[in-house]
Amino acid sequence: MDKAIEVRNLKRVYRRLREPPFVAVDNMNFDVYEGEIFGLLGPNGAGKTTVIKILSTLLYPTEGFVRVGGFDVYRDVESIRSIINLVTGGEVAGYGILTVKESLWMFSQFYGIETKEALRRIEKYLKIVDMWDSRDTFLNKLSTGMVQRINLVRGLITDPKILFLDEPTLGLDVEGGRIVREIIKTWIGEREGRTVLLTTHYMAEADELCDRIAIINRGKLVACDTPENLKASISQDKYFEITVPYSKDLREEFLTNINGKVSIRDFPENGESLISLSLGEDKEIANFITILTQRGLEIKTFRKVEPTLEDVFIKLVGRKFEDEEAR
Amino acid sequence: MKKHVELFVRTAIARGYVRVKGQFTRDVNWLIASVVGGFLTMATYVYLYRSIQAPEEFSAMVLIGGFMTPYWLNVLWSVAVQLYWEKEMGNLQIIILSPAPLSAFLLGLTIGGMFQSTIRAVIILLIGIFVFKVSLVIYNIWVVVVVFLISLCALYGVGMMFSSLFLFYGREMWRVASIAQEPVSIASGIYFPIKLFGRVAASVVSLIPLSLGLDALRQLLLKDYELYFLNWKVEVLILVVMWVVFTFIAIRLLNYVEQIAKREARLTLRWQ
Repeated sequence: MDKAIEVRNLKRVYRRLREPPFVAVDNMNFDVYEGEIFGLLGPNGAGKTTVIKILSTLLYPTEGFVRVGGFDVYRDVESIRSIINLVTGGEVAGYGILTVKESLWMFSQFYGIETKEALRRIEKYLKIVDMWDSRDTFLNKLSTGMVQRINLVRGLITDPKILFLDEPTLGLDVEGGRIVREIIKTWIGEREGRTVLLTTHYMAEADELCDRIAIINRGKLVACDTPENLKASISQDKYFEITVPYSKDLREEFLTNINGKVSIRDFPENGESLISLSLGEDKEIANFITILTQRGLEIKTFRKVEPTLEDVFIKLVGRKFEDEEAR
Repeated sequence: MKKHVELFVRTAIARGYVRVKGQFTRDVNWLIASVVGGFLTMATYVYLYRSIQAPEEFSAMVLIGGFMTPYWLNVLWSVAVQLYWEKEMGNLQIIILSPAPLSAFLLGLTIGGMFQSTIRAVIILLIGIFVFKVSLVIYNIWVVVVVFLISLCALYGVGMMFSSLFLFYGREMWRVASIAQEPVSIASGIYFPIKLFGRVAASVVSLIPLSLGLDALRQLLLKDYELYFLNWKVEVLILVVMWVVFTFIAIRLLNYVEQIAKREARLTLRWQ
């Protein structure tokens, strides 16, 4: 597979008068392949936006080598700009006195798209994001969710080879976030060779959307792999959760009979107990179920629990995501 | 090459469209306020000259100054400041990362600004002619139009040049512009001939294209006008040179500012 983005030894230092230099990105290395949705996942302040601004030619790297679409971000700026676009979550781009359609047309002209073709694409994408009926609404009359969808359309109508999305669902409600994620998935699947690099601090979003994820913290890349591999890398154990009717004797009985890690949380007010199991192999669960049924305990719910990216982050960084943001 | 030209033209038209549309939607109250304000200032000077029984050509001179004032204000507050506002609004980074040249974007908002100002300027001029019964003499309309356009090009060249500085220095530069607005208006000779300054001072204020533009237009529109600083043909020549030089500097400055922006992260990020 061809590389859409190559990042080698990337470093970015911010210097301010009378302040010590701040290293926002430190010795970062990763590749993004054509056709991928690649995620940069990290807490606020991890350096995600700095990376995306360097890749989109808005910032120079302090050190290192970066190629986007095969072009050097330092020397081939014009070539890169004609094949990329950037959408930032929470931005209110454009002018309130323009309608949705006019605004999108204006941005399309900055890419030299013929008006007839631009209007065709605007209609297509406004229909996809369910905003065709709002095409004549002034930008300053739109809700946050609508603005975000328009921003995304602004990024799509120029048909970029590489689309950068900086926190694309920031500030959106659950439904708004879902719509944006659906659009991204549909867009990348529409044609071969399109690539998306997105930054997010929403773990579930990265998990759902990305083919591969780079976890970054305090400017450093701490891991880069598929979500499945990242989760698998932290533990070989299999996790299960089983709900049974509440019983005082449950703890002793199972601690003496089960080979594995068991924790039991009682909810007497609901008349239930939640058994969390950590087993070396999937097949061991069969023995456990047999013991439960032999003792006449009804299984109310049963599910296999996958480790989350949150667990991966804690394992790699040693702190929770929120704790890192609060620092 | 053709692609580059097409991109340049499309960008300029698209950005100009925002200004033109703004004139007919949001700006009705602004239009009224600026026309009334401009007219009242002009009226003050006309009545002042009439009260001291100055020759009637002084009233006509004020009228031409009042006509050009909206352009000067537009250059200062809507061209020079605009890139700074674009940055504050979050649009600048979108424009910079597009393949569109920043100079095309600036040209678009300049042309749109000229259109906006022309509506104000023409209304002020017509009201002035009607209320004060001032007569202007047009010997050759095309010469007047060409001199007027060259003056505007040189003047807006200054605006484009300053837009980079405004962007770079942000609010500090904005305050400087606030402080400089009135002195520059006076030095440009909007309401009196710059010849009164004397040769040396008049030469210095001639660096402001508005000064020479006004002086040239007054020679072309007022009968037997003798208070001119230089012959209008010389002034037009200087204005053409200014136009070319200011535009060249503006483009170089834009490129330079973009390099600085990317190195220091000062310009495209709102909080920096």
